[in-house]
Order: sequence, then structure tokens, then C-alpha cells
Amino acid sequence: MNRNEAVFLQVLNSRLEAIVTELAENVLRAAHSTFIKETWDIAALLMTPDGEVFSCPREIAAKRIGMHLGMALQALGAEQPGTIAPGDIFITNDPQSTGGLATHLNDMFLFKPVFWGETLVCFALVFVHLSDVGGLVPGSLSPAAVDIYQEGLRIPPMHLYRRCELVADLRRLLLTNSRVPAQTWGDVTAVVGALNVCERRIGALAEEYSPAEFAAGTQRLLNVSEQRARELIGAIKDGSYRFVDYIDGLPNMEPIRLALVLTIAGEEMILDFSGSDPEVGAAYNLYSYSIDGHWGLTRALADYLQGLDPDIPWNSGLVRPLRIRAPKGSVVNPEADAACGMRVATYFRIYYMTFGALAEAAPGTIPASGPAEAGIMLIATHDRVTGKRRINVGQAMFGGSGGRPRDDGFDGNEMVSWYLRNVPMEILEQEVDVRFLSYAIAPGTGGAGRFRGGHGTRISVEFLTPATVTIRGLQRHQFRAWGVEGGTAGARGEVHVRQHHEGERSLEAVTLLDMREHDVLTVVTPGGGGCGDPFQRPAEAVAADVREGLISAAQAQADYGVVLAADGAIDADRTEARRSAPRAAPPEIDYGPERIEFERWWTPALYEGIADLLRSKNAAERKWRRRHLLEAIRKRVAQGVPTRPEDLPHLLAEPARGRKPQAEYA
Amino acid sequence: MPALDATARPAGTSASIGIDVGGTFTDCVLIDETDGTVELTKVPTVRANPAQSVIDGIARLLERSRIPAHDVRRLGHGTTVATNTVIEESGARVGVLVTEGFRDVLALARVRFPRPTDINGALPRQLVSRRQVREVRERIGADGAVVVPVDTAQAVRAVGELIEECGITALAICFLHAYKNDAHERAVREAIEAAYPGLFVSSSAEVSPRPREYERSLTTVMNSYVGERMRRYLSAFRDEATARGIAAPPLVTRSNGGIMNVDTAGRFAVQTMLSGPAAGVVGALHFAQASGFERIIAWDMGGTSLDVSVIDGRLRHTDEARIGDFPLFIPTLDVMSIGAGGGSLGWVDPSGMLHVGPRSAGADPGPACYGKGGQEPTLTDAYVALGIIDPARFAAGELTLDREPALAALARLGARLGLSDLATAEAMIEVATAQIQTRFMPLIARYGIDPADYALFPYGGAGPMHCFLFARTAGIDRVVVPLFPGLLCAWGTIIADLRYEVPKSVDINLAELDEAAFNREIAALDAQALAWLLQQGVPTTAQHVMRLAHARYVGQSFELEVPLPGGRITPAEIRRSFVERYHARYGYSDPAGPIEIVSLISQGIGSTAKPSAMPRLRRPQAGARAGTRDVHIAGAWRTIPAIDREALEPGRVYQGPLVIDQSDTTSFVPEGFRVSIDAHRNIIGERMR
Repeated sequence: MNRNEAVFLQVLNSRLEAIVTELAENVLRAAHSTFIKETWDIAALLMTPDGEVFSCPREIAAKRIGMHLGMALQALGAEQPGTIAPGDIFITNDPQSTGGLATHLNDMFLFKPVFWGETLVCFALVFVHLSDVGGLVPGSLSPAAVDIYQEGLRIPPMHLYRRCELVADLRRLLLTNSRVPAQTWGDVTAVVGALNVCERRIGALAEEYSPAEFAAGTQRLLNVSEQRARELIGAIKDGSYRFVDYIDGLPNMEPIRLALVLTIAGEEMILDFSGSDPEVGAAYNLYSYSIDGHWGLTRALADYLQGLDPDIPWNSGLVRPLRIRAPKGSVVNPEADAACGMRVATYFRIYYMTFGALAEAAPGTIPASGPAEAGIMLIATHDRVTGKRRINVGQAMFGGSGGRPRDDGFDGNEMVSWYLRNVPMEILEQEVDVRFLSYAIAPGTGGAGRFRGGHGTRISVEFLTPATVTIRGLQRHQFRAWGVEGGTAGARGEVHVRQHHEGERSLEAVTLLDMREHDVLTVVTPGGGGCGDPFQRPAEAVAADVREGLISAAQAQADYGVVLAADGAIDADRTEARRSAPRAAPPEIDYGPERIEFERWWTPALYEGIADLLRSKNAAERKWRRRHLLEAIRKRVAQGVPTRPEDLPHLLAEPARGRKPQAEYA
Repeated sequence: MPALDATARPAGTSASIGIDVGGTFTDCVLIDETDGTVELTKVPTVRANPAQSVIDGIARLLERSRIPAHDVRRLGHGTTVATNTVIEESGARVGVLVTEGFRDVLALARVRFPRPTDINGALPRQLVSRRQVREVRERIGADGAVVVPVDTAQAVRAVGELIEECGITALAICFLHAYKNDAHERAVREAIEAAYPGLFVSSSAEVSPRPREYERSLTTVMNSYVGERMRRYLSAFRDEATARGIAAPPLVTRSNGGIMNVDTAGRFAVQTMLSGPAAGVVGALHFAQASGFERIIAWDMGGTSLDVSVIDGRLRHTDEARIGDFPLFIPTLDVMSIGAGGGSLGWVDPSGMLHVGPRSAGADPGPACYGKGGQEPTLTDAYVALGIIDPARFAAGELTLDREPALAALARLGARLGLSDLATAEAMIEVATAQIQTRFMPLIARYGIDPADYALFPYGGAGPMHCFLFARTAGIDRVVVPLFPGLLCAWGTIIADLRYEVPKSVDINLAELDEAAFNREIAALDAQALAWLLQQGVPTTAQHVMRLAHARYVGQSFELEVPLPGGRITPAEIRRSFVERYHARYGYSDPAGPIEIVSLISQGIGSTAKPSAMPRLRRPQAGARAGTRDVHIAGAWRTIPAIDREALEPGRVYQGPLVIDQSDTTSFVPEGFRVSIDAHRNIIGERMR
């Protein structure tokens, strides 16, 4: 970089960051819905005329680099002269016609071209998570949706404003399809206002930069970031690193298997998802269109690179060296029409899987897994006075984060859901007829490690009036969040209820709970995995954890090899003896016993066999035959009969007895 | 600084003293109320013993002004003792009593990460460890009714254990819904004070009586954390002031922009946090209004930070202020802090990009030009190298600056960029300006205002140096440099009123408002506020109340502060006021939408006697100069006018570039601005288009 270049680029970069962060703040300030204000579920981006992000806020809505406008522009026919004009604002929420820019229908994207005179210099883009866009359920998000048509209104890229003129028909259509039209329009208006201010701010830069300088400057910022990312990747050991993990699906559904091969080849990385499950008839599909650098698949790497160099310019240049191979028809690149409302579970899981794959490539630099749980409890009650139905968010619940290479994990929250906040109980108790009995750290739930996994939380709530309760987003109730480099897996999540004056019972999963007065619901969120060998954790730190009530003395002894006297003091001799005794080397990744047991029956070979067998079938047949196969295997597992790949053709030939075809998992 | 006038004074006059303890310097101001002349001094802040700096400053003021100590009728004082105690983690060991089942409210906080993309980000700091938190059997419901009666005996036992096992010396009692009903907190407090009379005890309903358990509890813990130290500091200070013959009771500034007596400050030390910047804003508002400016952006740039505040004719409060990572859940003047100041360091990142700040050289070693061993260049070094600062006239002559080490530090940084020392200095200033804007614009956006509609009002040592450059970048056309940019914080401590909020959490749907009951309720709050003022020694004639409501549209989770009229209040008035504010803040409103009120606040204001005259300088000093200086601008040395502030001629227009020197700062006016002085001797800068 030559001398004036460094100053020129930093000044330009800082000015752009001011503008794009102001854009985000203006949206948050003016938005109507609580969800946007409280969870910051928005994006604010400046994009080149080709659709690449050259500026993104670093704090609010930070994790959006890698979004690409290219396909949406194509869908608009942007190459036709006159399609895009000053004063236009476009709107879309459709994954298909935007090539995976939108990934579920609640995210409404608005973008505005910014012209200096006749020259298009950039696009300003915002998405906001609208509270309702129609569909099966209030809020539009149901894990049980079988296709995208059940998830609300789809809008391909269209003019919302044409040369500053509102397209009123489109507004009518949008609002007619929302359960909360006033709020929806309030949010859209907030975005429009913010985009207009942003256009003015960028306009003011024209005093100092010519369009050509501006275009070249933004490209060079992208190049700086790309170059730096390439240097950082180049320093990582070449090779291919495999990682498999699962997400909890719907009740009575096999866990959804995701497979990743991360290849580091010189200064590029390839994320290959071959071997991941085919798309599912539930809302977990992630529309990536296998676009290189796709934001939903590269978040972990962007965070990782920024962790190595916190000052790297925060733009899409960072994801340029990241290639995606996501097989068509898989859960990470579904065919058109697949349901996608809850795709957050999928990309949260991929976030940690990427770290898992990197564990081997760049040992000592990556954290253990968090549970990737963002549990949202919804409580529906009837107002005592008016009898009207009220739906409140009961509490947002998070697990502990994974232990990190240089520090313990966070208790009660993790990287993927960093932006969510809990709701003060004093506020909730005023709004909903419930009483919290406890909100506390769940001691001992974090995985053991040189750096301990963060603990989950225990939230216990008593209902003071009859209520219907749902919880979405629970994860790691099946398999644990894994530990790394000798750290052990965290504890699984648990749900308990005490209903109708009976004793407490545990639930495997929550769909809909019918709670009466004085019933109690308790959720224990999962812990994060540990990082590093627990026997390497200083004995004083272990003793302190016991003193603080964060782990038990029994755990200290069993998991950490630290023996404590009755008064809590370290028994140095016995600790030394325990810690130096011969023991089996801990696994590189500890997945926990439940997953090991599951994979005894559901072997990688079996998954490959299923895929091989069905490869020749068409998509529709593949789907129902796969379901049939899985059911048959599950039955055999229940009877203790293992299934080998060579058994599959026989199972496939078996007629499905006594069952009517039914909607998938509905 | 030389005394402005040191001739003999008539007897029976009176004077006010204001002191602001900063990180680097303690600023002291004395105003002679007979004629408005002021005496200024700066003394280096002794971090280990800030009271010493204050006493030294007072002594010097009295000596130079030749005013006898007994003529001082007001002593205002801003202290950073509480803030520093939290930042340096040097407070008391605090035990905490919480409601059974909720041991981890403090540890879990609100769970959102401060730095979302940093996987190596530090764990949140905790003022108390989990072991220091004990649960007490008790529960108050959301409506204030007792659900589980309190077990005070258990609470007393728990405190005994905390003393025994953890060695606590202070206690915080934080029960759920105590803001609605504090009977349990009071019962426990009384039992503990009887059993352990030496313990410093705070209870949450007393410190911060509003819903939100985490924020209220933490603020209560902070109060106990800093309380004992503050008490000791204040009593030493009071004794010393008395010993020196100052009869006026010292007053301490509060984060809400008001002041309080030392007893109150000792009990509610948390109220002094962020009081320095708050006093600055109070001082700025006073100066700006006296000069006829209603809409200003107060821009206080010191050594390590830039404090920004938007003022349009009134003080804005927030309850979302923070001390480091901790929320401060008390009414606080809305001042936003940006990590940029004269001490901000220049550095180059691995991509080869130049940055300035937020890391600062602080007071020790300070900028390279201080000659105390600083090796990295700061913004101040850049100003000195370029000739903007005259090294011989910095900080009222308290420090002599040395240009050579500044140039050397700049050259070292420049080597990494391929730039000369002077080019590096210019680059640092350009980058700092752009980076300030990166932080400034989003903060300003939260108000829903356009900075172009405001005048920039710089103060603090570095404010006038940098503000014109910034105004140009931010599209602000007008800059007002007050007469004494270096003393506004100290001035604020002289003119602040006593302020005290009595909040009450309510749950009122405006449509169902019982007008009579509502008016009774707010009158009761008024009475409490006035009682506080009386206790502070404010005569009835100087008391008044301001009422505020926190209201929102039904279903929203965030509230807006709405001023209410005095006297009898009707629902229609509340609605009008709410809709108006809402529209101003969010750009739209629903005039008929259902509204709920979640809290009422009565703010008691005790007007204090203000100096009868605005501060002023005597006629231009004999030594006031209007000469020239060589300043390096845009790659070349230029000889530009360098004028002492006292030598600026009324009615004359000066065109940039020029520098204006005064004892406490230098104003740098770049090309594209013209300046003149107004009737109040403010420098008025305007951008030429």
C-alpha cells in the first residue's frame, strides 16, 4: 500500500462506516416493532453497483457481510436501461428470486440506488425482521411448515417507490397479508426514511470524491480486506478437514445431519456440504444457492478472521476467498418451495461446525461449541378482564458458550445469539400473569476444560392463570455441545413441568403445553463445551469454581482431578496423584455419550448408503423413499437390530404397511 | 495563568469557587461576584489523593485573587472518586442479599455481548463474586403484594456468614419488586443495622426505585462498592475546607446535572458518577443561553475522551448511561463519550491502515511532547509538530512542551506509512476527524436530529483545536467557542441547582385514568421532592418542582420521557405532550393510539444563588499579541495570523487559516471559515460557502 493510499482509504472507510452505522441507528430508532428494537434483527449495508458489501456496521447488525445483491438485481432486469432510477426503492423477501439474499420471508429487504448525477455510485440496503408476513401461525414462523407457501407472502424484487412515488398497490397487497398491518407499515416507513437520509449523506461525499474516485476507493477497500483475509488464511495449514453435526428436528423426526468438509488451499477456503441431509419437509432449510461467501454459511469464518485481526476492514472482501459447495436439493441449498422459517437453527449449527473443522487445521485458536440455542418462550393467555387473547414473549433463553482458547465460555449466552437480550422479570411479571421462581446459572452444566464451557441457566416459572405455552428454538436437548482439544461436552438441555398438582416430569421436546393455575415450567438450557484438557486447569481455578458454587466438589475430582478437603482447600498430594495417574488420552472432539450411541446405529456409512441408493431417483420420489427408509431403520434400532448399508435395498423394497401417505411431519 | 487582576478589593464582597477534578488536571475557577472577573488555575491531579489537588487549587485561587476565605459563599465540587473506584476496581468488598431463586441476576446481566464479533472478547467484569451473593426467603409480587413474608433472621445470619467467610465491609439489599413495595428491604436493613452497626448498607428501593432487577441491583451494589471511600474522602475534604476558613458548605455535583450536600453524597455516592461531564453540560447550557444560543452540540474534548451532548434549551436525561461495562440506572444527563482526545495515540494496523485512538497516552507518560518518556505520537504531538499549539503556552503555562520528542515519535510512526513526520501529523488529524465522525453520527442519529441545524460548541483543552475541522466534515456550518473553553466543567459546579428526583413506578392506562387519584399521587411525589430540598437547606422560596412521566404506546417495551405541566393535570394534556415528544423523536405518531404511563417523576429543583455577573476578562492585557505563526498546512509551511484571544477586535471578521491563543486552549480556524467575536466575547465561526 503506498503512502497516501493508507490515509485516503482509512478516511473513506471511516466516513462510510459513519454513514452505514447511522443508517442502522435510524432504522432502530424509528422502527415500530419491539422485536426490531430489542433484538436488533436488521441489516444496514452499502453495496457496490454490482451488489457487493463495501461497508457494514461493526456493532449493531454486524454479522451481515457476505450478503450479495447480484441475483436480486438480475431478477429486476437491472441491466435494462431505465429499470433503476434515482428515487427508486425496491422491496423483496423472496429467497428464490434473490438467490439466497433473503433466507426467510420475515426478513423484508429494501434497497435504494444512490446516484451522483447520472452515475449509479452504490446501493443502500436495509432488511428488518417483520413481525408477521402471513402464513400458518402468528409471527409466520413455524418449524412444522412443510413448504414456503405456508410461511407467508413472497415478494420478488419490485418497486416500492418508483422515482419517489409510492407504488400504492404493492403496499395494499403487503398490508393485506399481515396480521399486524399498522406495525408492518410503521417498520417499512422507518426503513424508507432511513434510506433517504443515507442517500443524502452519500450525496454529501460527492463534494470530495468524483464518482470514479469513489468507485475505485470502495473497490480498493474491498481489496484491502480480501488481501488481508488471504494472508490470514494462507497462514493456516493446508488440508481438508471434516466435521459432522446434527440439529434437533421436530419431535418424531430424526436429527438433521449436516456434513462439512473445510478445505484450506493456499489463500482460499472451500466449504463443501456434500453429505448433508437432503432438504427437509420442515422449516430448517437454508437457501444459500451455493453462492460463494454466502453470509449464512460464512459467519464463523468472518468472526474467526476478525478475531485474528480485529481491525480488518469490515466488508465483503473478507469473504471473497471463501468458496461454497452446497449440493442442490440439500438442507443447505434446497430446491425452490422448501420451508425455511427456522433456518436460524441450521446456520447457527454451521457456525460451530466451521470451528469444529478448523480445530484440526488451526489448533489452539478455536472455541468449543456452544449449544446454538435461542429458545423463545411464547405465552398465550386470555386477559382476565376483557377476555382478549394476549401473546407475550415469556423469556429468551440461551445456553452457555463454549470454552475459548484463552478464556472460559460465557455463562448464559453465546456467540451466535449475542444480539438478543433477556427481558427483565420485573417487566414480564407486570405484563403476563406469571411468577418466576428462579432465574439462575445452572451449576455444573458447562463442559469441563482447561477453559470451562459456559453454564446454562435454569428458568422456572409458575403460571397464575391458564395459559398455552410454546417454545421454539430449543437445541442440544438430544446431543451435547462438543468440547475441543480435550475439553468435554456440555450438559444437554432439559424441560420439566409440574402440571395439575402432579409430580414433576421431564419432557423430551416442547410443542404445545397447556398450563393451568400454579403449574410450573422449568427450562434448563444446555452448557457449552470445554476447551483444552481439564487436568491442565489450574487447581486454584477449580477450587474457586467450587467455592463459587459453579461446580461441585465431586465434579472437581472426577472431571478435573482436583481433590478438595472438607473446608474447600486443595489437597495437593492427592490432586497431584490423581492428575499424574495414567489415563486414556481424551478425544480431540468430545461429542458426549448420546451422540456416540446414536452413531453406533446410524453410521456414516449408513448415511452414505442411503444417499447412494436414492441418487438415481427424482426429487419427489427421493423424499418419500428416504422417509420410508429412515422409519424402517428407526424400528430396527428400537429392536436392537443394526442396519448395514447392504441391508438398504432390501428395506427399500419392503412395502410400507398400513400407513396412508401424509403431509411431511405436519 | 497570570492573575487577571490582582489589585486590592473592597471589603464585604463575595466569591464562588468551582472545582472539577479531571483525569490529568484539576480545573479551578473563582468568580468575584462584585464585577464578574474570574481567576483560573489548573493543578495536576494527584491520582492517589485527589483531595490534595482540590485543596491546592483552592489555596492558589484565594492567594492570587486576594479574596479572604470567609468571603467564599459557595464551594462547588465535582469528584471522580466514585467513578475511579469502579474503573480501578478498588472498592469495598460488598455482600449482596437477593430474593430466593435469583442469585445470578448480577452475573447473567442482560446477556447481550458488548463486542459481538470478537470470539476472544473478555468475560464481563463482576463487582461481586457469586459467593458474595446470598438468597433470602421473601417475595413481593409485581403488584407490590407480599407473596412470601421475609425471613429477617435468615438475612441476618447470611450477613454474618458473609462477614465471616468473605470479609465483606458493605452490603447491598436487592429484592425483586422492591420499587413497588420496599417493606422487606427496610425490615432487613433495620435488622442488619442493629446487628452490624459498622456495615455500609444500601437498599435498592432507596438507590434506584424503578423496575428492571439487573440494572437496579447493580446500581445498588455500585453504591455500596464506592460508598465508604466516598464518605472518607468527603469528610476529609470538608474538614480541610473548614480549616482553611471556608464557611460555605461544600456541594457536590450529581450525574443528573444538579448538586447535593456532602451528607447526601456520602450516602448516595453512585449519584456522583459521570458528574464531571454533566457539570460541563450545565456550564455549556448556561453560557450558550446567556449568549442567545438555544440549539448547540456541546463538544467537550479533553485528554482521553470526547463527550458529546445535544442541548436544545433544556437538559436531556437518560437512564441508560454506563460506567465502563456497567449500566448506571439513575437519571443521568445524556452525555455520549467517544474515545478521542488530545492524548489519543496514532497506530498502524496489520492491513497498513492508520488509526488514532481510542487508546490514550493518559497523563503518564502523556504525549511525547510532555517529555515524560512517551514514545508514541498523540494528537497533541501532531498539533505541536504542525505549529498549531505554541509549546510555550500550553495548559496555562503549567507544562512546558517540547517539540523534538513529538517529531521523533511522529517520524517513527511515519516510517511504517512511508510518510514524513509532518505528513504523519497531518494524516493523524485527518484520520482522527474521520474516526470521530464514525462514532458521532450514529450517536446523534439516536436523537433524530440533523447536526446541520445545530451550532458546535467546543470546550475542554482540545475542543477548540479540533472542532472546526470536524464541523467541516460533519456538515456543521456554525461553531461557537465560549470565552473560557477550559473552565466550563468547573463553572457548571458553581451554577448548578440542587436537583432530586422522586420516581414512582405506576401502571396507568391513560384511557382509564382516575384524574383525582392521579393528581393526588403526583402531589405526594412533589411533597417528597420538596422535603428533600428543605433537608438540603434550600429555602422554600427557591424551590420548585418539574414533573415527568415515562409513557409509551400500549404494547411497546420502551418509554419516552414526557414533561407534565404543574398544577392540576388532565389526560388530554398528557396525551398532547406525549404525542408531541413521540413525533419529535421518531418522526411519526399516532394521535389517538392507546397510551400507558409506567412511571411518574417529580423533580425537585432548588435554585441556588448564581453569580450576579457572567464571567469576564479585563480589558486586553498589555501583553496580548496579534502576530503570526508558522503552521504546517496541507503539506507546506504557511505563515498565518496568531492572535491572542484578548486581542480579537469586536466588529472585525477574521478569515481562516488562523490560530487564536488563550491560556487554556488554542482555537485552530482552517481555511473556509471566518470568525468574529460577538457581544459576549464568544468566537463565532461560520463556514464560507
